[in-house]
Amino acid sequence: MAHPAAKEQGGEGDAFKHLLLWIGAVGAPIAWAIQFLIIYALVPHVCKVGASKSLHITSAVFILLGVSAGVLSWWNLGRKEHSFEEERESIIFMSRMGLMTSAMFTLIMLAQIIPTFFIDPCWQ
Amino acid sequence: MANAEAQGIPADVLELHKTLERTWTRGPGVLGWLCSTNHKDIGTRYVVTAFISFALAGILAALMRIQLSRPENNFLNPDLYNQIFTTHGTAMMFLFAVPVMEGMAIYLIPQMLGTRTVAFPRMNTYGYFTYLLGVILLFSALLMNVGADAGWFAYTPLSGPQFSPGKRVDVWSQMITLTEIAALIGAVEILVTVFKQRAPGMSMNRLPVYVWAMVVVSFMIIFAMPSIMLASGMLAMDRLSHVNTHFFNAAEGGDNLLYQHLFWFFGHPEVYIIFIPATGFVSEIVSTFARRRIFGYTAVILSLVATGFIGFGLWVHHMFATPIPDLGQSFFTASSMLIAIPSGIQIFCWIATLWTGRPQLRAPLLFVLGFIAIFVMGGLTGVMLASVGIDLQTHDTYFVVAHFHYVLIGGAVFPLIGAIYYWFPKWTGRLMSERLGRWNFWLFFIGFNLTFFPMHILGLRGMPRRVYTYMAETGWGNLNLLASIGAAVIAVSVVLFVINVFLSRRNGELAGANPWGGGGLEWGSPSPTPSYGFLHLPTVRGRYALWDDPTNASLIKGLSIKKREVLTVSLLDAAPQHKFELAGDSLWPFLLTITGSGSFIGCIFTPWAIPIGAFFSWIVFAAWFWRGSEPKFVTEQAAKTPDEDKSRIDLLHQRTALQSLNKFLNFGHLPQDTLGHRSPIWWGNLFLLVIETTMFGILIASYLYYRNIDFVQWPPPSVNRFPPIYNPIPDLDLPIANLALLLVSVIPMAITDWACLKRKITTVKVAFTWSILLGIAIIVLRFYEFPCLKFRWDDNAYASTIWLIVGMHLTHLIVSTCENLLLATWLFTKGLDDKHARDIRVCAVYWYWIAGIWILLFGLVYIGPRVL
Repeated sequence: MAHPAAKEQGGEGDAFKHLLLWIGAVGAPIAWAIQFLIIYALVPHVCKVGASKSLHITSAVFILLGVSAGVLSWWNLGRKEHSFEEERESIIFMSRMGLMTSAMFTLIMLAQIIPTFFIDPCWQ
Repeated sequence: MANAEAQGIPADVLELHKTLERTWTRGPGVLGWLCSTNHKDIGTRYVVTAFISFALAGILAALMRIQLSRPENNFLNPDLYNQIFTTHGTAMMFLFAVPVMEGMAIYLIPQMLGTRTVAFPRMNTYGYFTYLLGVILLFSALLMNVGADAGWFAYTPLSGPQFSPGKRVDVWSQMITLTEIAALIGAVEILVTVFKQRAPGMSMNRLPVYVWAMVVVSFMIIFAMPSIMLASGMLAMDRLSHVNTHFFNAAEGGDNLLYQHLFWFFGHPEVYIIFIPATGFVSEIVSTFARRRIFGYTAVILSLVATGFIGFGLWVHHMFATPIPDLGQSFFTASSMLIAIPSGIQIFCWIATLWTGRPQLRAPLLFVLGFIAIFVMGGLTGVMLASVGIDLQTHDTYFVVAHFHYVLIGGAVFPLIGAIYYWFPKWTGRLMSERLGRWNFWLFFIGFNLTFFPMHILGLRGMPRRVYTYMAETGWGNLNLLASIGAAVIAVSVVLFVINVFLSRRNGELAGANPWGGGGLEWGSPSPTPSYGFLHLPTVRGRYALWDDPTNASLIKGLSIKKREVLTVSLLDAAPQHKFELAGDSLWPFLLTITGSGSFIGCIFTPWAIPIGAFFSWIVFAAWFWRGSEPKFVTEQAAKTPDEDKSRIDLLHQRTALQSLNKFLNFGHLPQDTLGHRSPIWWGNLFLLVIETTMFGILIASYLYYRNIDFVQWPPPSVNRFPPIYNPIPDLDLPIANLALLLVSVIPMAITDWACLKRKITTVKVAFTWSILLGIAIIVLRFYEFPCLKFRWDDNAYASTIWLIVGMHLTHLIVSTCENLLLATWLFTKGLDDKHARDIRVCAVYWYWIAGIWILLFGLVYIGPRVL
């Protein structure tokens, strides 16, 4: 096990790598949050124009982003061999969390898009 | 001292203890109490004040149960009943549930992280006093018969000026402002402490589950609370004579559903803000009493993070009975059902931990088991209510009352009481009575179910919420009587808990440093924890510091023990970075609370309270900023040596696993927190900007919401004025010139920023002066911009929104320029030291943000009416 001081002051040097880890971990939830707000705000517009295409396209784009966050986490997981122990543990943890959040929030986005195929946007 | 030496404590250890006590203990007397910034003092005050609020709100609940125990009862009149149920709900949500969770975190988190206190200790004190004023305001208003009476959510139009004349709702809205300021400060404190002040080696994957829970909750607070602050502020402005805005006045283009959106965008995450810390307690208690690590650590953290996110996607399920399109509602149904997945994952992880461990059934674990049983029931009715059809049937009935009490009391209060039993030794050095604890648990469990289970049936039989009585013919009498008997049992249980606390505090069994054999770092300091926390700051080598190879974990040397210095680390891996000196005790936070909160309370009566309060707050703030300007009587008091009472010295005899080590790492060579690094202050400023951006984001969303209403003409005309204005498209010339000036002002500010980094003092002076002069010019021109808008704030809802946007941005300009003036005064009179160079750079970032956000707002205010 590496000494806690082994990487003294080196924490911010790997900023980009760390950013990728965070994007992988919270990318899918953020994608879901944006998709959710957009499709909710679009409902009155969809009612006016009479086509749900914009809802489907928006959801597809963000589902893709959610999946991409999972792919990024998978890629992050692959580079754990090059790090010292504390960092390796962090990478494994963040990447696994990213894989799980990606799966969960992609599922939620899929669940939310299902009603758009069955419910008329003008019903209230 | 002789006693300590007789106990075999080495003289150097004793000397270290005494020096640290002198550095970290607050001064004696009332003044010492007012000035204290120690996280243990402030955390304890939060918890005690919150439990007092809980007791008072509980008494109100008992009064309601007496009133409802039989049909057509006249124990309370309808008006008093309205005040009582509103104050009960408001106090439980705003004055008990959130503050108690933050208070526990403020007390525990520095100990769990292996640091000495929280990141911004003076802000912490300020937050507490602000919260305390909120408590006093709400309950004193009830005593004076001006208690809030429009429900804990204060829906418009009921809470508007037309249907709620008088000051009752105004008291509610200002109380919200005070408590939310405190909550936001607490959230920023916790986040920065966790991000920057962990023990070396405590990477993010080794954080205790409870700390992860508080990180998630703090982010939720940052994004949720601005919404309610804005909603309550807009409501107050609608109500205040001489202001008379129309945000929620349907007759003038306002919209009551917007209020509900704003309220529940905060209100639903609030449930998780209360529940998630409790799950953190549960994870800590379960792993300690099962004698094993938590099962599925990563999955538990995933659940916390997922719950934090999905918690924001549920708010419309409180509004299923409003005319929102079915398709929109269905999105919320989906997320309301899917949030059961992360909650379920956590419950399975806890069960698996217990199943595969060697559980010891002590009082804290009993409360956790009670939590699991009750919360699962509350969760199941939650999934039922996610369905629009069932929700419409049970909306505003006692079924919903039963559901949220199962979720909130089961989900938060049970684990909280378990947590008090569990961590009580950290406060007092003693264990709470196990026998009383078991009585406490069973009475609470039985009383709770007696009270709230019948409410499901009452709700399904149609009994509405918020009614002060009911007819005998309804047949609801027996179940209501049963619920009232249950409430009495709960009251007995709570009294037993209080008795247990007071008896055990003095006479409980001595706990020792780690009475439960826990693995968390907080058990590595003596019990009760000394004011400074750890004699030597620790390092960690695993997720459970005391279980994972503690004998090979080194202790830290090299930090000052004569000033309040802590170690800062990198975000992800907790690699040591700097030494960071924290502010000492001070009277200014208390004084700022008086001036600032006085202004909020004063504006219940007159809008002039805001500028007057701002003026006095500015004086206090300036004095606070000016180092060395602490009143002399405060510094003299603080310099007094704390009492070396026997009990404290005895504590040293209780050696812990960590403090018996002799392996040291010397971090004396680390630099003081300097320029060019992401310091705690940089992070604090970042979170402030996130809060502010959220606030403006919600305002922009409100504008777009109004725009979405089918107005014949946009912007809507100002027909109430004479002569009427039918085409209120704002002028562009002056606003564009002012926008250009604001963007130009970024250049000298950027030069100042760069020159601070390079320590080019002359350049700093010149560039900073220019940026301040430009700032003043922009402020002056901004006042001339208001006529360009062509309407007044009280013309209609659109006008109110635009004035609020422009006015809030102007306020930011003024505050930032005043800060810059203060820093410039320091610069020209005392020169440029590291601390003030860093402060100027932080203010520069704030200025960039002000300029950046105005580009967006300018588009909305001036271009929006032309293109949207």
